[in-house]
Amino acid sequence: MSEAFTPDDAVNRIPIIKLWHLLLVPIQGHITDRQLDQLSEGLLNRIHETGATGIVIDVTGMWLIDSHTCALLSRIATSARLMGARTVLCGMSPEIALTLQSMGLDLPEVKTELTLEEALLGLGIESKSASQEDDESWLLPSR
Amino acid sequence: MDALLATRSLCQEQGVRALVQQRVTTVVSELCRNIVAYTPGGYLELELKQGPMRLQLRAVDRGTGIGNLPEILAGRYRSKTGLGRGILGTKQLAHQFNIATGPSGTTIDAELLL
Repeated sequence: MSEAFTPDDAVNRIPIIKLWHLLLVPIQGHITDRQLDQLSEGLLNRIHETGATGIVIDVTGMWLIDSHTCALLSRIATSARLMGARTVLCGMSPEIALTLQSMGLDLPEVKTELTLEEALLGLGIESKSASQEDDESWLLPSR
Repeated sequence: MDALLATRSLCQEQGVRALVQQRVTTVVSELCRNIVAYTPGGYLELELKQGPMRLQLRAVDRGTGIGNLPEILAGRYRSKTGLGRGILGTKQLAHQFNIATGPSGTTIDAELLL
């Protein structure tokens, strides 16, 4: 579905947030093929620029994942792996998971976690207390 | 996108549960993608039927047909874009499924129980 570039492309771009040595990608609502293509290119450029070693794709806000979306996410993960970054996808709803399973679809190359917290922990971010007196915990990159 | 929102609204109006809504919307996405991305054009018809409540979908395109349909339906076809997986996935989600393809286009009929 190739279309000409429009000013809306910049507005509708899926954000890529640098988080220590990771890149966090929160996806909301319905995404178009164009947005996914932009994401693919943008993520690989950001890995190259930042030296990120992991990508977290949070799909909590997505209400539809079809076969094409699965294929594109897997391709992103494969390309990222070639650049030395692991991809973890989190936040998939039970309805989407069951639908993909019924369709026989899978996400090869993509590790999945239930929550964003688990995804971050899986990529080396760990929870540490700020101090002995202060029981509040913080997420920090593990060393 | 309009087709997806319309389908979702229809399901919500009919009080369809979340998992079934997801399955129906995914099938509509797959059928629309086949038309928009891989053919010069076509249309999708949705018809709500009663007793038991079900959704009848008919996707018609003016493409050149699907040459490797037996491979696709047998799950042996692999593509980088997901092409083919959507048709098989639709078949697996549908209560009834029929596909007719030829050099002048493809018609897919799918029925989903709501």
